Amino acid sequence: MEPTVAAQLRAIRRLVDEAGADAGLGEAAAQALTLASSQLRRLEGAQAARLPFLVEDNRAAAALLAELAELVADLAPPEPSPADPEAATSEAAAASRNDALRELLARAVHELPADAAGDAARARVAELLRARLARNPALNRPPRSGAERTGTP
Amino acid sequence: MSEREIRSRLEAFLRSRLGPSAAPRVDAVHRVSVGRSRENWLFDATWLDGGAEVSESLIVRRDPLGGLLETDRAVEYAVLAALQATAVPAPAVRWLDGDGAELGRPSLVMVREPGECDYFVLNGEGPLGERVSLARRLCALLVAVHRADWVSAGLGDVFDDPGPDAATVELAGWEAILRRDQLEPYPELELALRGLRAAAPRSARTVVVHGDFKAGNVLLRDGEPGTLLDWELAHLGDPHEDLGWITQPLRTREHLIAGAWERDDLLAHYEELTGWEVDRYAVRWWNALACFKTAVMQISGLRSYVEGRCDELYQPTVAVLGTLLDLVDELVGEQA
Repeated sequence: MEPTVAAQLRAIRRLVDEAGADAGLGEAAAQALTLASSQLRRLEGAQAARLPFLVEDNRAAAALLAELAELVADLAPPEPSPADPEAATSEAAAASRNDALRELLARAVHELPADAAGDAARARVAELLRARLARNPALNRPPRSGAERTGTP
Repeated sequence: MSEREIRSRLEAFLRSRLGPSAAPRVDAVHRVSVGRSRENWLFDATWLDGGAEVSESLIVRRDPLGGLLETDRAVEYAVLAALQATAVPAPAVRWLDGDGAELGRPSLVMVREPGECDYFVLNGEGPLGERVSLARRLCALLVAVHRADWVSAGLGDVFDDPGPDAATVELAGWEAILRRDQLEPYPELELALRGLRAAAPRSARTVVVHGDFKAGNVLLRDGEPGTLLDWELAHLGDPHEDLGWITQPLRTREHLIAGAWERDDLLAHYEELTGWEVDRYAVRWWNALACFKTAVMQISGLRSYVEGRCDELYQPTVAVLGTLLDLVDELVGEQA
């Protein structure tokens, strides 16, 4: 359905960029508009991909947790509620489930046994997390300049 | 805060410190955007001292409402005051508003030193020979920090000496910040924590650690390194910590020059200047800690953003988390 969220975000960013190009702006106002524009650009790129990313990440994390449950007690992942018709399509529901699953992964890292089987399981967690980093639409965006790249003081 | 308001507050602040007969006047106030963790205002102050007019160019560093770091201006003031007794070129500190009662937020007033900061000067447009020479002098500056006699300077009254446990103490400190600020689970950081704890090196000596040593925190004047700025992360610890920070894979463009000033060149020059043997394993551990610390700072920044205390959106990045996982994997592999 038009206008899409992405199209509206683009339009808002155009307005912000036009306002920011005004040579008469003070330094603080110009910086604020630059910041707003960069955040809009980031949102434009990430918003459409967010729900599919969460659904796929939840599937992968739940599958791994089911395997790890053989090594760690009470690690069974929560099931999406069948009574909730929005569970599969709502971003809020998917994000909430993602938090729950990542909490279980965080616990597993510490509670897996300190032996070869535990180490192998942790390596699988690391593999899953690396794949997640590569897919995460909120984190994968065009590089910024200078110190912004590392986001340090 | 507007320029007018900060000027008025600064004049009242100087009156309280210098006495009403000093009749302090504040001019040329303007905010500078350099520095990502503090709100910095430059100004000129003029006052009377025994009938004579005194002028100084000063800078006030105010705490922002939120951001990457929450550090204590009173501690930074104590560090800078103590360093005046050493050969370390730290900025001269003048006054402290520790609780922000006078300047609106906790603030530090320092002398404005001459020079410009350039994060990427080592990979700038200058001739290669000059850039390598500058890299060697920056290394010498770090050595001056590590060689500072912190006991005589009184820094033992400001910080605890972590001794051989510097690595685990520092890791625990950043874990505490993570626990305070994280809004969601980060299994990536749990993996890193577990690996770093298991692989932590022991420290052979305690020195003053700057904590954020980089060209971007050094004032350059006619190409010469001058004052070293931004002491808010300084503490006592293992010298390998600063070496790990400046050789971390994510910031090579700030510290190294491909083919001319590589990691091994830097470490060998440091060994030559100090006469201390650098433990390459320890440097790799501190490389990983540098990434962990960066991720935690980004998480603090994210919390500030979500709570409306900071306008810039921070988030642990793919580069930081991915590099951290790789480095910890290597350390754990070496330990196995």
